[in-house]
Amino acid sequence: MLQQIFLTTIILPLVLGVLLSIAGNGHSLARLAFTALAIPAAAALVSMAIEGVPPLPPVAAKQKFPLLLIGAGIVFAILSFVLKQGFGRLVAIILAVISLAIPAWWLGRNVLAANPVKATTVAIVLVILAVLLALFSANRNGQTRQSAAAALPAALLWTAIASALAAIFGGYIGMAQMNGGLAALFGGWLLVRYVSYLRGADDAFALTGMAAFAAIWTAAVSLAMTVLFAPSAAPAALVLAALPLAVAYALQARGVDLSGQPRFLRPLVSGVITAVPAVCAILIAALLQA
Amino acid sequence: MKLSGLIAAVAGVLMAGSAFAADAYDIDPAHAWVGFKTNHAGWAHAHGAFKTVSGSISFDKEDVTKSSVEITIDAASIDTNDDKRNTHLKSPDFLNAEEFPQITFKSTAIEKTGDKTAKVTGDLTLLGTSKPVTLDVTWNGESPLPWDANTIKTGFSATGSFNGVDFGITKMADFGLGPDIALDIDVEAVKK
Repeated sequence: MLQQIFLTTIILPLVLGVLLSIAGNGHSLARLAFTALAIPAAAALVSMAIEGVPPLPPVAAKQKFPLLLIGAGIVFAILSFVLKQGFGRLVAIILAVISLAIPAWWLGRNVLAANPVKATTVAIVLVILAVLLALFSANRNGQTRQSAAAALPAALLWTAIASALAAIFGGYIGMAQMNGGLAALFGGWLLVRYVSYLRGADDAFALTGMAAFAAIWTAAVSLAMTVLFAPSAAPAALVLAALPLAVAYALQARGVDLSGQPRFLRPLVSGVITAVPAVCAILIAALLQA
Repeated sequence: MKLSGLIAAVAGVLMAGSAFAADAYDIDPAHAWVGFKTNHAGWAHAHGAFKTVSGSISFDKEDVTKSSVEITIDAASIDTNDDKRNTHLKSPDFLNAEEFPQITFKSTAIEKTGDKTAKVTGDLTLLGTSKPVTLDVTWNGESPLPWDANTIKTGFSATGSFNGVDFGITKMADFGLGPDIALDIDVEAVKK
């Protein structure tokens, strides 16, 4: 049993993250479209490895979840070509709101209608994530070579880790496995890009356009699933789990300069800074369940 | 006048017939026990029960095959004598109690097997999935309350089993549980 959990929650997603990081390396339109498709699709594969292949039509939200990820990946890949000139913040905001609101309703309408605490927490988390989705995915090519460019993928890793622990302490082991798998997926992606960065590629950590959108959206819907279905997850921990992305945006938007640090340390420093809200989320989740 | 009298007499007989064909009962929530047990990694059977149970019974003592029963269980009322385990059992790994708050059983066919026993087949709806399950039911007896002769109570015991994976509880094996879940039900019902 432990071997199976280790395989589906760590090894498989880590390998997938490494493979799609290698395959998606570069900034051509095709590579961006590939990443926009591959991140949600890889997450769907992890979900099916953990929960099994869903029946058609799906009955429960956890069965809808991998289908949602696959469908979204296809849409994001198509949008990569449709919006190949990049898109402004208005388009990004519309996309962000629609892409989060519709799945949240499809997955959790029973819970949203019956549980006001969860409905409020979902609303807060999704508003934060929708704003960040729009801010990150709008055309910002000028910032991909920043010394804090690793902050976004590191924040995705930390959001997934915090979501996983909030799910465990909230009594939903399956979603903890899923979020843990997502953390391994982002970890695998980061590992390849870190090596690439050490070898001189300044823009190794760049996630832009629909690729950034797909990565953030995947972490966002996974967090939304945790909020909706973990029976006793702490709302404060769940809101904090979304905030590593806000820290990452602040680092990049303010142009925080880490170039004074040794090159090998810069991604790690931005990673540690983005971890602060995640660590707070984990501590709150643990303390409230103790 | 004669015709209207005849119609009234026929209607009276028909109404009396339907009234006496089956008695209607409401399950007494305070005296309803829906317990279950399932294999736990070969060590023991994990036991649990649901605290909130309601329902109705239409009981035809003359022809039991014309009886029917509907039971509704609040999935979130599961109790296995451990708060953390109860919380986990309410999650989508098991009962998914927020998305599917009710577990229901609605009889579809009853086969008499003895003076006081029958096989009751019905649709068990769990996690949004309905599948037929057959219960072996014993009617234990009926009598008025000792302190209230106007309140008639009847009581049944039932056993049965189903496979949790059939209803989408795919995580059972991951936690060393199942796959079969045995039911042990006792209900008292008050005649309307």
